[in-house]
Amino acid sequence: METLVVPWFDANCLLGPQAAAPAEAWLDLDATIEALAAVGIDRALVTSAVARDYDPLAGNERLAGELAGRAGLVPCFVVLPPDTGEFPRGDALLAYLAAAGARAVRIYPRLHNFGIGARWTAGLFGPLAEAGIPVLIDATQADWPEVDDVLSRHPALTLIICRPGYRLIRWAWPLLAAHCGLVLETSLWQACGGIEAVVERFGPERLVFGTGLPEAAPGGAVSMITYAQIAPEARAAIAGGTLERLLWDGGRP
Amino acid sequence: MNRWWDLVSRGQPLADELVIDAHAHMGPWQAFAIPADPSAAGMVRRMDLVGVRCCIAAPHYGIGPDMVAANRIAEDAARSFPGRILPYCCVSPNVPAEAIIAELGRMLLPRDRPIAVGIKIHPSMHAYPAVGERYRPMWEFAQEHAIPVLAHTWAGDPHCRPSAFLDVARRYPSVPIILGHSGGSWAGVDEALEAALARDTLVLDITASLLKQGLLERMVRTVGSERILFGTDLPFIDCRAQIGYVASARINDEEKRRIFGLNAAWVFGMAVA
Repeated sequence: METLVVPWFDANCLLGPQAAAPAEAWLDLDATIEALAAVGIDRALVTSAVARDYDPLAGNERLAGELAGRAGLVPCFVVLPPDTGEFPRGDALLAYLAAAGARAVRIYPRLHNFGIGARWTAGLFGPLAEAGIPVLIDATQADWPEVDDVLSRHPALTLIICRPGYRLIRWAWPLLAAHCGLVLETSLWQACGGIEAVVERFGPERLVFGTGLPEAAPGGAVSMITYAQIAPEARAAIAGGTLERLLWDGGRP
Repeated sequence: MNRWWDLVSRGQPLADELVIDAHAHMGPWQAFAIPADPSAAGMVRRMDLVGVRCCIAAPHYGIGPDMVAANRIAEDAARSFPGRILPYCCVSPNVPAEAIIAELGRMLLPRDRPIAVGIKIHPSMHAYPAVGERYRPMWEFAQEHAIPVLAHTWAGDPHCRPSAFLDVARRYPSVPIILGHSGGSWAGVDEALEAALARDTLVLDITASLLKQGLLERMVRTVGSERILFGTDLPFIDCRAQIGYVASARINDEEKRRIFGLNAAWVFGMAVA
Protein backbone atom coordinates (compact mmCIF):
# COMPACT_ATOMS: atom_id res chain seq x y z
CA MET A 1 0.00 0.00 0.00
CA GLU A 2 1.32 3.42 -0.96
CA THR A 3 2.39 5.64 1.92
CA LEU A 4 1.38 9.12 0.95
CA VAL A 5 4.25 11.50 1.54
CA VAL A 6 2.92 14.45 -0.35
CA PRO A 7 4.89 17.69 -0.78
CA TRP A 8 1.88 19.98 -0.61
CA PHE A 9 2.38 23.42 -2.12
CA ASP A 10 -0.84 25.42 -2.53
CA ALA A 11 -0.81 27.42 -5.77
CA ASN A 12 -3.95 29.39 -5.03
CA CYS A 13 -4.25 31.05 -1.65
CA LEU A 14 -5.61 34.55 -1.15
CA LEU A 15 -4.75 36.65 1.89
CA GLY A 16 -6.20 39.81 3.36
CA PRO A 17 -9.49 41.67 3.61
CA GLN A 18 -11.85 41.27 0.67
CA ALA A 19 -14.44 43.66 -0.69
CA ALA A 20 -17.22 41.08 -0.68
CA ALA A 21 -16.88 37.89 1.28
CA PRO A 22 -18.77 36.04 4.02
CA ALA A 23 -17.40 36.19 7.54
CA GLU A 24 -16.02 32.67 7.16
CA ALA A 25 -13.65 33.89 4.43
CA TRP A 26 -12.08 36.56 6.62
CA LEU A 27 -8.90 34.74 7.55
CA ASP A 28 -5.89 36.68 8.77
CA LEU A 29 -2.38 35.37 8.24
CA ASP A 30 -2.32 33.18 11.33
CA ALA A 31 -5.76 31.75 10.57
CA THR A 32 -4.71 31.06 6.99
CA ILE A 33 -1.61 29.22 8.14
CA GLU A 34 -3.68 27.27 10.63
CA ALA A 35 -6.34 26.32 8.04
CA LEU A 36 -3.66 25.03 5.69
CA ALA A 37 -1.72 23.24 8.43
CA ALA A 38 -4.89 21.47 9.61
CA VAL A 39 -4.91 19.51 6.36
CA GLY A 40 -1.14 19.09 6.16
CA ILE A 41 -0.16 22.01 3.92
CA ASP A 42 2.83 24.10 4.94
CA ARG A 43 3.69 25.90 1.69
CA ALA A 44 1.56 28.27 -0.36
CA LEU A 45 1.80 30.75 -3.19
CA VAL A 46 -0.14 33.68 -1.78
CA THR A 47 -1.93 36.53 -3.57
CA SER A 48 -3.17 39.69 -1.90
CA ALA A 49 -6.93 40.21 -1.81
CA VAL A 50 -6.20 43.92 -1.32
CA ALA A 51 -4.28 43.90 -4.60
CA ARG A 52 -7.28 42.32 -6.27
CA ASP A 53 -10.02 44.36 -4.65
CA TYR A 54 -8.35 47.75 -4.01
CA ASP A 55 -4.99 48.51 -5.61
CA PRO A 56 -2.34 46.11 -6.96
CA LEU A 57 0.65 48.16 -5.79
CA ALA A 58 -0.72 48.76 -2.30
CA GLY A 59 -1.85 45.15 -1.95
CA ASN A 60 1.44 43.71 -3.14
CA GLU A 61 3.37 45.88 -0.71
CA ARG A 62 1.12 44.88 2.15
CA LEU A 63 1.45 41.21 1.22
CA ALA A 64 5.24 41.35 1.04
CA GLY A 65 5.31 42.89 4.50
CA GLU A 66 3.00 40.26 5.96
CA LEU A 67 4.87 37.34 4.44
CA ALA A 68 8.33 38.57 5.35
CA GLY A 69 10.04 35.95 7.48
CA ARG A 70 7.21 33.44 7.03
CA ALA A 71 8.88 30.34 5.69
CA GLY A 72 6.82 28.46 3.16
CA LEU A 73 4.63 31.38 2.09
CA VAL A 74 5.64 32.83 -1.27
CA PRO A 75 4.27 36.10 -2.67
CA CYS A 76 2.42 36.11 -5.97
CA PHE A 77 2.09 39.73 -7.09
CA VAL A 78 -0.90 41.13 -8.92
CA VAL A 79 0.26 43.09 -11.95
CA LEU A 80 -1.15 45.42 -14.61
CA PRO A 81 -0.03 46.19 -18.17
CA PRO A 82 2.55 49.02 -18.21
CA ASP A 83 0.83 51.30 -20.73
CA THR A 84 -0.85 53.61 -18.25
CA GLY A 85 2.29 54.12 -16.22
CA GLU A 86 0.78 52.52 -13.12
CA PHE A 87 3.18 49.60 -13.26
CA PRO A 88 6.86 49.31 -14.20
CA ARG A 89 7.79 47.92 -17.60
CA GLY A 90 10.28 45.26 -18.72
CA ASP A 91 13.40 44.99 -16.55
CA ALA A 92 11.92 47.40 -14.03
CA LEU A 93 8.99 45.04 -13.56
CA LEU A 94 11.33 42.12 -12.97
CA ALA A 95 13.32 44.18 -10.47
CA TYR A 96 10.10 45.13 -8.68
CA LEU A 97 9.12 41.47 -8.37
CA ALA A 98 12.59 40.27 -7.40
CA ALA A 99 12.97 42.89 -4.69
CA ALA A 100 9.93 41.54 -2.87
CA GLY A 101 10.63 37.86 -3.48
CA ALA A 102 7.60 37.42 -5.75
CA ARG A 103 7.97 34.24 -7.77
CA ALA A 104 4.81 34.42 -9.88
CA VAL A 105 2.27 37.04 -10.92
CA ARG A 106 -1.48 37.12 -11.17
CA ILE A 107 -3.78 39.17 -13.37
CA TYR A 108 -7.46 40.09 -13.09
CA PRO A 109 -8.15 41.54 -16.55
CA ARG A 110 -11.93 41.64 -16.26
CA LEU A 111 -11.98 43.08 -12.76
CA HIS A 112 -9.19 45.55 -13.53
CA ASN A 113 -10.56 46.45 -16.96
CA PHE A 114 -7.96 45.56 -19.55
CA GLY A 115 -7.84 43.01 -22.34
CA ILE A 116 -5.45 40.11 -22.54
CA GLY A 117 -5.08 40.52 -26.30
CA ALA A 118 -1.81 41.76 -27.82
CA ARG A 119 -2.86 45.41 -27.78
CA TRP A 120 -2.96 45.43 -23.99
CA THR A 121 -0.57 42.78 -22.82
CA ALA A 122 2.31 42.51 -25.29
CA GLY A 123 4.41 44.65 -22.98
CA LEU A 124 3.52 42.49 -20.02
CA PHE A 125 3.48 38.87 -21.22
CA GLY A 126 6.60 39.28 -23.37
CA PRO A 127 8.98 40.06 -20.49
CA LEU A 128 7.26 37.58 -18.19
CA ALA A 129 7.57 34.77 -20.74
CA GLU A 130 11.18 35.62 -21.43
CA ALA A 131 12.05 35.63 -17.74
CA GLY A 132 10.12 32.43 -17.05
CA ILE A 133 7.66 33.98 -14.62
CA PRO A 134 4.38 32.07 -14.44
CA VAL A 135 1.12 34.00 -14.74
CA LEU A 136 -1.96 32.99 -12.78
CA ILE A 137 -5.44 33.97 -13.93
CA ASP A 138 -8.87 32.96 -12.64
CA ALA A 139 -10.98 31.01 -15.13
CA THR A 140 -13.65 33.69 -14.74
CA GLN A 141 -11.25 36.45 -15.83
CA ALA A 142 -10.81 35.44 -19.48
CA ASP A 143 -12.50 33.50 -22.27
CA TRP A 144 -10.87 30.38 -23.64
CA PRO A 145 -10.35 31.90 -27.12
CA GLU A 146 -8.45 34.72 -25.38
CA VAL A 147 -6.31 32.16 -23.56
CA ASP A 148 -5.69 30.41 -26.88
CA ASP A 149 -4.59 33.72 -28.42
CA VAL A 150 -2.23 34.60 -25.57
CA LEU A 151 -0.49 31.24 -25.58
CA SER A 152 -0.25 31.26 -29.37
CA ARG A 153 1.54 34.62 -29.21
CA HIS A 154 3.71 33.65 -26.22
CA PRO A 155 4.51 29.92 -26.50
CA ALA A 156 7.12 30.18 -23.73
CA LEU A 157 4.61 31.61 -21.25
CA THR A 158 3.32 29.49 -18.36
CA LEU A 159 -0.33 30.39 -17.80
CA ILE A 160 -1.97 28.78 -14.75
CA ILE A 161 -5.77 28.83 -14.90
CA CYS A 162 -7.10 29.05 -11.35
CA ARG A 163 -10.38 27.40 -10.35
CA PRO A 164 -11.41 25.92 -13.69
CA GLY A 165 -14.69 24.12 -13.05
CA TYR A 166 -15.85 20.67 -14.03
CA ARG A 167 -17.93 22.02 -16.89
CA LEU A 168 -14.93 23.35 -18.83
CA ILE A 169 -13.44 20.16 -20.24
CA ARG A 170 -14.61 20.69 -23.82
CA TRP A 171 -13.02 24.15 -23.78
CA ALA A 172 -9.81 23.06 -22.06
CA TRP A 173 -8.90 19.84 -23.87
CA PRO A 174 -7.91 21.31 -27.26
CA LEU A 175 -5.93 24.08 -25.58
CA LEU A 176 -4.07 21.66 -23.31
CA ALA A 177 -3.17 19.73 -26.45
CA ALA A 178 -2.06 22.85 -28.30
CA HIS A 179 -0.16 24.76 -25.61
CA CYS A 180 2.35 23.13 -23.31
CA GLY A 181 2.41 26.29 -21.19
CA LEU A 182 -1.23 25.89 -20.15
CA VAL A 183 -1.61 24.53 -16.60
CA LEU A 184 -4.78 23.97 -14.56
CA GLU A 185 -5.00 24.63 -10.84
CA THR A 186 -7.02 21.86 -9.19
CA SER A 187 -9.16 23.41 -6.42
CA LEU A 188 -12.31 23.45 -8.55
CA TRP A 189 -11.28 20.78 -11.04
CA GLN A 190 -13.88 18.29 -9.86
CA ALA A 191 -14.86 16.68 -13.13
CA CYS A 192 -15.51 13.03 -12.32
CA GLY A 193 -12.18 11.36 -13.07
CA GLY A 194 -10.81 14.72 -14.21
CA ILE A 195 -7.46 14.42 -12.42
CA GLU A 196 -6.73 11.02 -13.95
CA ALA A 197 -7.91 12.17 -17.38
CA VAL A 198 -5.48 15.10 -17.51
CA VAL A 199 -2.62 12.98 -16.20
CA GLU A 200 -3.23 10.22 -18.74
CA ARG A 201 -3.78 12.47 -21.70
CA PHE A 202 -1.50 15.45 -21.09
CA GLY A 203 0.77 14.47 -18.19
CA PRO A 204 0.81 15.37 -14.48
CA GLU A 205 2.82 18.51 -15.15
CA ARG A 206 -0.34 20.16 -16.52
CA LEU A 207 -1.98 20.25 -13.06
CA VAL A 208 -0.92 22.15 -9.95
CA PHE A 209 -2.60 21.64 -6.62
CA GLY A 210 -4.44 24.63 -5.15
CA THR A 211 -6.92 25.15 -2.34
CA GLY A 212 -8.81 28.30 -3.32
CA LEU A 213 -8.60 29.38 0.32
CA PRO A 214 -10.35 31.36 1.75
CA GLU A 215 -13.20 31.11 -0.75
CA ALA A 216 -13.00 27.33 -0.54
CA ALA A 217 -12.12 24.99 2.32
CA PRO A 218 -8.84 23.18 1.66
CA GLY A 219 -9.87 19.66 2.74
CA GLY A 220 -11.78 18.86 -0.44
CA ALA A 221 -8.92 20.04 -2.63
CA VAL A 222 -6.56 17.73 -0.74
CA SER A 223 -8.82 14.68 -0.95
CA MET A 224 -9.17 15.03 -4.72
CA ILE A 225 -5.41 14.42 -4.90
CA THR A 226 -5.01 11.82 -2.15
CA TYR A 227 -7.72 9.62 -3.72
CA ALA A 228 -6.54 10.14 -7.31
CA GLN A 229 -5.72 6.88 -9.06
CA ILE A 230 -2.34 7.99 -10.33
CA ALA A 231 1.29 7.02 -9.78
CA PRO A 232 3.07 8.33 -6.66
CA GLU A 233 5.37 10.43 -8.85
CA ALA A 234 2.39 12.04 -10.58
CA ARG A 235 0.74 12.75 -7.22
CA ALA A 236 3.89 14.39 -5.91
CA ALA A 237 4.22 16.48 -9.06
CA ILE A 238 0.65 17.74 -8.85
CA ALA A 239 0.76 18.33 -5.11
CA GLY A 240 3.79 20.57 -5.24
CA GLY A 241 6.66 19.43 -7.41
CA THR A 242 5.48 21.06 -10.60
CA LEU A 243 4.67 24.37 -8.94
CA GLU A 244 8.08 24.44 -7.29
CA ARG A 245 9.68 23.86 -10.68
CA LEU A 246 7.58 26.52 -12.42
CA LEU A 247 8.17 29.34 -9.97
CA TRP A 248 10.62 32.07 -10.93
CA ASP A 249 13.95 31.65 -9.21
CA GLY A 250 14.87 35.32 -9.75
CA GLY A 251 12.40 36.17 -7.02
CA ARG A 252 14.38 34.44 -4.36
CA PRO A 253 15.79 36.87 -1.81
CA MET B 1 -7.14 15.96 13.17
CA ASN B 2 -9.56 13.01 13.44
CA ARG B 3 -9.88 9.46 12.19
CA TRP B 4 -11.87 10.52 9.12
CA TRP B 5 -9.21 12.97 8.05
CA ASP B 6 -6.48 10.50 8.87
CA LEU B 7 -8.00 8.09 6.33
CA VAL B 8 -8.66 10.79 3.75
CA SER B 9 -5.14 12.17 3.97
CA ARG B 10 -3.78 8.69 3.26
CA GLY B 11 -6.20 8.08 0.40
CA GLN B 12 -7.97 5.29 2.27
CA PRO B 13 -11.74 4.67 2.10
CA LEU B 14 -13.94 5.44 5.11
CA ALA B 15 -14.72 1.75 5.18
CA ASP B 16 -15.98 1.41 8.76
CA GLU B 17 -18.26 4.44 8.64
CA LEU B 18 -21.79 4.72 7.33
CA VAL B 19 -21.48 7.08 4.37
CA ILE B 20 -24.63 7.63 2.33
CA ASP B 21 -24.60 9.86 -0.72
CA ALA B 22 -28.13 11.25 -0.71
CA HIS B 23 -27.72 13.26 -3.92
CA ALA B 24 -26.29 11.29 -6.84
CA HIS B 25 -27.11 11.04 -10.52
CA MET B 26 -26.07 8.59 -13.26
CA GLY B 27 -25.15 8.56 -16.93
CA PRO B 28 -23.90 11.21 -19.36
CA TRP B 29 -24.95 14.85 -19.44
CA GLN B 30 -25.23 17.26 -22.33
CA ALA B 31 -23.44 20.25 -20.84
CA PHE B 32 -19.98 18.78 -20.36
CA ALA B 33 -17.80 15.70 -20.76
CA ILE B 34 -17.54 13.28 -17.86
CA PRO B 35 -14.11 11.63 -18.11
CA ALA B 36 -14.90 8.69 -15.79
CA ASP B 37 -17.43 5.98 -16.53
CA PRO B 38 -20.73 7.60 -15.47
CA SER B 39 -22.66 4.32 -15.45
CA ALA B 40 -23.79 2.54 -12.30
CA ALA B 41 -20.72 0.28 -12.43
CA GLY B 42 -18.40 3.26 -12.73
CA MET B 43 -20.15 5.03 -9.88
CA VAL B 44 -19.77 2.03 -7.58
CA ARG B 45 -16.06 1.88 -8.36
CA ARG B 46 -15.74 5.55 -7.38
CA MET B 47 -17.80 5.01 -4.23
CA ASP B 48 -15.46 2.17 -3.25
CA LEU B 49 -12.43 4.45 -3.56
CA VAL B 50 -13.69 6.71 -0.79
CA GLY B 51 -15.95 4.40 1.19
CA VAL B 52 -19.45 5.53 0.21
CA ARG B 53 -21.65 2.61 1.23
CA CYS B 54 -24.62 3.55 -0.93
CA CYS B 55 -25.94 6.37 -3.02
CA ILE B 56 -29.44 7.48 -3.84
CA ALA B 57 -29.46 8.24 -7.52
CA ALA B 58 -31.56 10.19 -10.00
CA PRO B 59 -30.13 9.48 -13.47
CA HIS B 60 -29.45 12.58 -15.56
CA TYR B 61 -32.12 11.46 -18.02
CA GLY B 62 -34.64 12.29 -15.32
CA ILE B 63 -33.50 15.84 -14.66
CA GLY B 64 -33.56 16.21 -18.44
CA PRO B 65 -36.04 14.99 -21.02
CA ASP B 66 -37.30 11.54 -19.93
CA MET B 67 -38.29 10.64 -16.39
CA VAL B 68 -39.47 7.14 -17.32
CA ALA B 69 -36.18 6.26 -19.03
CA ALA B 70 -34.34 7.57 -15.97
CA ASN B 71 -36.39 5.49 -13.60
CA ARG B 72 -35.81 2.31 -15.62
CA ILE B 73 -32.06 2.98 -15.63
CA ALA B 74 -32.11 3.49 -11.87
CA GLU B 75 -34.17 0.37 -11.37
CA ASP B 76 -31.70 -1.69 -13.39
CA ALA B 77 -28.81 -0.19 -11.45
CA ALA B 78 -30.43 -1.04 -8.14
CA ARG B 79 -30.92 -4.61 -9.34
CA SER B 80 -27.31 -4.87 -10.49
CA PHE B 81 -25.87 -3.30 -7.33
CA PRO B 82 -28.26 -4.16 -4.52
CA GLY B 83 -27.80 -2.00 -1.48
CA ARG B 84 -25.23 0.18 -3.24
CA ILE B 85 -27.49 2.17 -5.56
CA LEU B 86 -30.98 3.14 -4.46
CA PRO B 87 -33.25 4.93 -6.93
CA TYR B 88 -35.05 8.19 -6.65
CA CYS B 89 -38.24 8.29 -8.67
CA CYS B 90 -37.63 11.18 -11.06
CA VAL B 91 -40.70 13.31 -11.73
CA SER B 92 -41.09 15.80 -14.55
CA PRO B 93 -43.90 18.36 -14.43
CA ASN B 94 -43.91 18.35 -18.22
CA VAL B 95 -45.78 15.08 -18.63
CA PRO B 96 -49.51 14.48 -18.00
CA ALA B 97 -50.62 14.05 -14.38
CA GLU B 98 -51.77 10.49 -15.10
CA ALA B 99 -48.26 9.55 -16.21
CA ILE B 100 -46.77 11.08 -13.06
CA ILE B 101 -49.16 9.19 -10.82
CA ALA B 102 -48.59 5.92 -12.68
CA GLU B 103 -44.83 6.31 -12.40
CA LEU B 104 -44.98 7.19 -8.71
CA GLY B 105 -47.10 4.12 -8.07
CA ARG B 106 -44.80 1.88 -10.05
CA MET B 107 -41.64 3.09 -8.33
CA LEU B 108 -42.87 3.67 -4.78
CA LEU B 109 -45.74 1.22 -4.15
CA PRO B 110 -46.36 -1.01 -2.37
CA ARG B 111 -44.73 0.78 0.50
CA ASP B 112 -43.27 -2.37 2.06
CA ARG B 113 -41.21 -3.20 -1.05
CA PRO B 114 -40.74 -0.12 -3.23
CA ILE B 115 -38.22 0.20 -6.04
CA ALA B 116 -37.35 3.78 -5.14
CA VAL B 117 -36.72 5.34 -1.74
CA GLY B 118 -37.59 8.94 -2.58
CA ILE B 119 -38.65 11.40 -5.27
CA LYS B 120 -36.41 13.76 -7.22
CA ILE B 121 -37.55 16.97 -8.90
CA HIS B 122 -35.52 19.57 -10.78
CA PRO B 123 -37.73 22.63 -11.23
CA SER B 124 -34.88 24.59 -12.79
CA MET B 125 -34.07 22.14 -15.59
CA HIS B 126 -37.76 21.46 -16.15
CA ALA B 127 -38.50 25.21 -16.17
CA TYR B 128 -41.50 24.95 -13.93
CA PRO B 129 -42.01 26.20 -10.36
CA ALA B 130 -41.94 23.70 -7.52
CA VAL B 131 -45.14 25.26 -6.20
CA GLY B 132 -46.89 24.99 -9.57
CA GLU B 133 -50.07 23.06 -10.17
CA ARG B 134 -48.40 20.40 -12.34
CA TYR B 135 -46.31 19.26 -9.39
CA ARG B 136 -49.41 18.93 -7.17
CA PRO B 137 -50.05 15.19 -7.86
CA MET B 138 -46.47 14.46 -6.83
CA TRP B 139 -46.67 16.48 -3.61
CA GLU B 140 -50.02 14.87 -2.72
CA PHE B 141 -48.62 11.40 -3.33
CA ALA B 142 -45.55 12.18 -1.21
CA GLN B 143 -47.78 13.58 1.53
CA GLU B 144 -50.07 10.52 1.52
CA HIS B 145 -47.12 8.14 1.87
CA ALA B 146 -44.64 10.37 3.77
CA ILE B 147 -42.00 10.04 1.04
CA PRO B 148 -38.88 12.25 1.01
CA VAL B 149 -38.52 14.62 -1.94
CA LEU B 150 -35.15 15.90 -3.11
CA ALA B 151 -35.66 19.22 -4.90
CA HIS B 152 -32.97 21.13 -6.71
CA THR B 153 -32.78 24.61 -5.16
CA TRP B 154 -30.77 27.67 -6.13
CA ALA B 155 -30.73 31.24 -4.91
CA GLY B 156 -32.56 33.60 -7.21
CA ASP B 157 -34.13 30.87 -9.31
CA PRO B 158 -37.84 31.74 -9.44
CA HIS B 159 -38.71 28.06 -9.92
CA CYS B 160 -36.87 26.73 -6.89
CA ARG B 161 -35.34 29.28 -4.58
CA PRO B 162 -35.13 27.81 -1.06
CA SER B 163 -37.80 30.05 0.43
CA ALA B 164 -40.29 28.76 -2.16
CA PHE B 165 -40.40 25.50 -0.21
CA LEU B 166 -41.73 27.10 2.95
CA ASP B 167 -45.24 27.11 1.55
CA VAL B 168 -44.86 23.56 0.19
CA ALA B 169 -43.65 22.36 3.60
CA ARG B 170 -46.65 23.99 5.28
CA ARG B 171 -49.10 22.36 2.86
CA TYR B 172 -47.46 18.92 2.93
CA PRO B 173 -46.18 18.49 6.49
CA SER B 174 -45.52 14.74 6.21
CA VAL B 175 -42.98 15.19 3.42
CA PRO B 176 -39.29 15.54 4.31
CA ILE B 177 -38.14 18.05 1.68
CA ILE B 178 -34.42 17.98 0.95
CA LEU B 179 -33.26 21.36 -0.30
CA GLY B 180 -30.77 20.19 -2.92
CA HIS B 181 -27.53 22.22 -2.81
CA SER B 182 -29.10 24.28 0.00
CA GLY B 183 -29.57 27.14 -2.43
CA GLY B 184 -26.05 26.99 -3.86
CA SER B 185 -24.50 30.40 -3.22
CA TRP B 186 -23.85 31.93 0.19
CA ALA B 187 -27.05 33.95 -0.23
CA GLY B 188 -28.86 30.74 -1.11
CA VAL B 189 -27.48 28.95 1.91
CA ASP B 190 -28.64 31.73 4.20
CA GLU B 191 -32.08 31.56 2.60
CA ALA B 192 -32.13 27.77 3.04
CA LEU B 193 -31.08 28.11 6.67
CA GLU B 194 -33.86 30.61 7.34
CA ALA B 195 -36.37 28.28 5.72
CA ALA B 196 -35.07 25.28 7.68
CA LEU B 197 -35.36 27.22 10.92
CA ALA B 198 -38.98 28.00 10.08
CA ARG B 199 -40.05 24.46 9.05
CA ASP B 200 -38.53 21.39 10.62
CA THR B 201 -39.39 19.12 7.67
CA LEU B 202 -36.91 21.02 5.48
CA VAL B 203 -33.58 19.21 5.26
CA LEU B 204 -30.29 20.71 4.06
CA ASP B 205 -28.02 19.11 1.46
CA ILE B 206 -24.33 19.97 1.11
CA THR B 207 -23.96 18.83 -2.52
CA ALA B 208 -21.97 21.46 -4.43
CA SER B 209 -18.66 21.95 -6.18
CA LEU B 210 -17.56 25.12 -4.43
CA LEU B 211 -16.80 23.60 -0.97
CA LYS B 212 -17.08 26.97 0.68
CA GLN B 213 -14.83 27.69 3.62
CA GLY B 214 -16.88 27.54 6.83
CA LEU B 215 -20.21 26.75 5.16
CA LEU B 216 -20.79 23.38 6.78
CA GLU B 217 -19.81 24.80 10.14
CA ARG B 218 -22.35 27.63 9.66
CA MET B 219 -25.05 25.10 8.80
CA VAL B 220 -24.36 23.04 11.92
CA ARG B 221 -24.22 26.14 14.10
CA THR B 222 -27.55 27.40 12.77
CA VAL B 223 -29.82 24.36 12.51
CA GLY B 224 -27.83 21.62 14.21
CA SER B 225 -26.28 18.59 12.55
CA GLU B 226 -29.44 16.45 12.50
CA ARG B 227 -30.94 17.90 9.32
CA ILE B 228 -27.88 18.03 7.07
CA LEU B 229 -27.30 15.34 4.43
CA PHE B 230 -24.09 14.30 2.69
CA GLY B 231 -24.32 14.40 -1.11
CA THR B 232 -21.90 14.56 -4.00
CA ASP B 233 -23.71 14.90 -7.36
CA LEU B 234 -21.72 11.87 -8.59
CA PRO B 235 -21.00 11.52 -11.54
CA PHE B 236 -22.01 15.10 -12.42
CA ILE B 237 -19.09 15.96 -10.08
CA ASP B 238 -16.42 13.71 -8.62
CA CYS B 239 -17.33 12.44 -5.16
CA ARG B 240 -13.80 12.64 -3.78
CA ALA B 241 -13.75 16.34 -2.92
CA GLN B 242 -16.89 16.25 -0.80
CA ILE B 243 -15.48 13.44 1.35
CA GLY B 244 -12.46 15.53 2.29
CA TYR B 245 -14.61 18.60 2.78
CA VAL B 246 -16.72 16.95 5.49
CA ALA B 247 -13.84 14.96 7.01
CA SER B 248 -11.83 18.15 7.54
CA ALA B 249 -14.72 20.33 8.74
CA ARG B 250 -14.43 21.91 12.18
CA ILE B 251 -17.33 20.04 13.71
CA ASN B 252 -17.25 17.23 16.20
CA ASP B 253 -17.15 13.50 15.49
CA GLU B 254 -20.80 12.87 16.28
CA GLU B 255 -21.86 15.69 13.98
CA LYS B 256 -19.74 14.21 11.19
CA ARG B 257 -21.22 10.78 11.76
CA ARG B 258 -24.75 12.14 11.44
CA ILE B 259 -23.98 14.15 8.31
CA PHE B 260 -22.05 11.38 6.59
CA GLY B 261 -24.84 8.83 6.95
CA LEU B 262 -27.01 8.59 10.03
CA ASN B 263 -29.26 11.47 8.99
CA ALA B 264 -29.88 10.00 5.53
CA ALA B 265 -30.62 6.61 7.06
CA TRP B 266 -33.25 8.27 9.23
CA VAL B 267 -34.78 10.40 6.44
CA PHE B 268 -35.04 7.45 4.05
CA GLY B 269 -36.01 4.89 6.68
CA MET B 270 -32.97 2.67 6.21
CA ALA B 271 -31.88 0.11 8.74
CA VAL B 272 -28.42 0.99 10.08
CA ALA B 273 -26.13 -2.01 10.35
